[in-house]
Amino acid sequence: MNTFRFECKKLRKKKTTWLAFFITLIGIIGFYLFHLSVAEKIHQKNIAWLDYLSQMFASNAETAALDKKKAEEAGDTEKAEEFHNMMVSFQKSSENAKQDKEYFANEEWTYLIEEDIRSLEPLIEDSAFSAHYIEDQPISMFTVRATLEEKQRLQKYDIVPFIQNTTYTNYLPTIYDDFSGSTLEEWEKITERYGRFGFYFLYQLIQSYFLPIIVLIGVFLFGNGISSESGKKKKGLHFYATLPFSKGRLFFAKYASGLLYTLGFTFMMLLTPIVTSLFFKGVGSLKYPVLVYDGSEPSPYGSHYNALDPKNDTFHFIELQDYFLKVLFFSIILVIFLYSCYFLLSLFIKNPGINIILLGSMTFVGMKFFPKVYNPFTYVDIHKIITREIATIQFNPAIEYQTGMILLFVVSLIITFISYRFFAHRNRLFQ
Amino acid sequence: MTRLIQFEWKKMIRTKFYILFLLLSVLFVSGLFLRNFLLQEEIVNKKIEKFSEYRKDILSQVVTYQKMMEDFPSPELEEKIEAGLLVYRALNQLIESIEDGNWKEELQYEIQVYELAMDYKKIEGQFKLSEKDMQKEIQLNEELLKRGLAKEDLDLSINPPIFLKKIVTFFFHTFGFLILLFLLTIYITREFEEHSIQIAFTLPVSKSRYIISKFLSLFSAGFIWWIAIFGVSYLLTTLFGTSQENSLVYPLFTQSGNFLDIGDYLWQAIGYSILFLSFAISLLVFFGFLLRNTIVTSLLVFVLLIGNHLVLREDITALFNPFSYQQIDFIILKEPTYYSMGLVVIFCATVITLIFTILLNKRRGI
Repeated sequence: MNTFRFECKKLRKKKTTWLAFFITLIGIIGFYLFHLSVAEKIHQKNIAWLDYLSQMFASNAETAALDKKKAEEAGDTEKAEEFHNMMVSFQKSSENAKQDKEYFANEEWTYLIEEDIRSLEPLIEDSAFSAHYIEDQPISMFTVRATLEEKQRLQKYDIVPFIQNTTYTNYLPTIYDDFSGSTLEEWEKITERYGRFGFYFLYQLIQSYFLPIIVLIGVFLFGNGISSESGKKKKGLHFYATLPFSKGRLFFAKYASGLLYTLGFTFMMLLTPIVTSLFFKGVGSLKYPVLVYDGSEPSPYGSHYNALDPKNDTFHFIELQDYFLKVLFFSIILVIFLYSCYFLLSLFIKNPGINIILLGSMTFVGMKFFPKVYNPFTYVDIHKIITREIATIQFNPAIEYQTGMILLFVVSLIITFISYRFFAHRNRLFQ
Repeated sequence: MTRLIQFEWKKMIRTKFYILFLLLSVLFVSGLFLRNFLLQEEIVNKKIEKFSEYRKDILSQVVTYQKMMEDFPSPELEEKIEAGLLVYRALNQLIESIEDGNWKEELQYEIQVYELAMDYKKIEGQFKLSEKDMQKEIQLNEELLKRGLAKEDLDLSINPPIFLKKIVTFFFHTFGFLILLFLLTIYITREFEEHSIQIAFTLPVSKSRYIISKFLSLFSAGFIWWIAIFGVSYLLTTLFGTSQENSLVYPLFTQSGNFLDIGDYLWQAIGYSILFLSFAISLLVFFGFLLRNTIVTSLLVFVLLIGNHLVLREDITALFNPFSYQQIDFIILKEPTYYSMGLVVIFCATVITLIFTILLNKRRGI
């Protein structure tokens, strides 16, 4: 235990550790502020767009009123009535846009969510009636259903939504949409979500691989316990060789101290956006609904014919607090896994830069290109595991949270054991 | 100075990581070329599959309209059937021309398909592509016909300039530069960590000369990596790829919808990538000499480049911000007019960073 405490103290006393800690911290805070400014800019743009619409409709109404007057003077009652109807319609549109602008400006989301629900409900009640289109491509029925339920939950719990780059329906993008070309670009633009609150921002960060990136930075900082003392010019391990204790104890002290600090670092970085948001917009609601796919039935004719069914496939929502709880437990396992991998690598290669390039590349390639049940890297993208996105796309319900937790833990134990064997074997050289 | 650079190079070669990295990069380029080479037939299959799907869609719509006509005949439905059948026939001809490998006919029929599809959409028929995309394709095809060039698959092509463009998007962006910088960091910071810098400073060489030689040796390492990537790509595509006459004038769409010749694109990519490489390495030298620690220097470079990557993702660029040029493909296609001034900006940023590095270390102890 004393050795472990000594190793911890060494890490704590290093100025560079604290410097690296603050650089990462400032990086995250900077990103939050940048994200917040982009969100505010989009929000203001939405308000400006509604203001423009309101003025445009009002001006059209005025033109229609003038035309009506001219038609009346000319005695053309039919034309006059037509212009009158146009004028009324423009006036109504102008009032609606003005009203929406007020809602946006005062952030009265309840009314806006209600409007979204009103526009989505008819599509669900009669799916043959019409479909919503982006340019000329239809939005999938799954997305419409999921969006409607999301809005209903937002309404039920009075939750503030994310900011989106549109003044029309704020759709929830799903894997069931199949857009292409400029439509895809437009869809991505209007469904990109910007969270201004701490929890929302963290939720978005997790979707953008924040967790593996932070853990990788953590292991980069704290995973060099042995390699940093076994270089040609830094022979700290020789000191231990003179002391009367076992290699196992030394290994444990080096491994556990680094692991503990990586865990602490990861949790602090996860907390940073939430704490920062307290000084700006607040943390937001933990009841925000997170979409979880229930998956699709595989085709009886073989995997080649598997296809998602946007009309009948089901889904459910979990609350953001449950999502974060899962992320929290998973972070512990992910830290152990990536730390073990890095630790093993660092026993072979003394250059931390090379180690992090190797581990980062392995993680990225394993995560992106081989989504299999027994590939531990499949579970690194925890957002897609919790929401069962990978399981649904792969038609493989076995790719799930619990499997990932067990697999990563077992693989970590094996890697740690290999590291110990290697360390014990190689350490004889120093004696 | 030459001796110092030679000395630095010797150190780099001794550690083997740099050589390994060069080899891996060359292997990666070769692998990418091999993949494209093997997937040449796939380009034709992909096209046929795409247009066959459109054909299937149109046919099913026409059949539905024909059934509706039997129950409720109307001139609108008749018009839709006629327009749908026209698109269907044009798609048939297009697929045949693709199968025959007649690229001129292929381009002409593709134009015809989109024109007819746009007419069909005007009478409320459905076609998967948006009007905007079809207009863009028509514009590209007309330009290609005018220049006498066949259409290339920008992802799978083994035509030298097109493949080189792919290499630019693959290597010369945030993550490509980051990997190189991570690898090179140790050649600055290790000397401080292992205190061998004390020996270097006892030599009759001024600190500024030492910093400049460090920069030049690292830049030459980066430049050799650059040559290896471009050289291997060019060699492979020239020896085993397919080439068209005038392929350097192949038109690329810029973000504003104008055309940029691929020759100009590559010219800009070469200029930007070399100069940005120098800027990135000058930053590395600056932070390396400032912080004197591998992990902290790498982390700071990572935070800077990733932070800037996130800014660029929001489409925010500025002519006088040297970091705007870290995504080479993005900046060329978004702001093709930045080029000459952009080079000046990156060059000045490199010089200023180096001057700062020298000034900061002039009176600093070991």
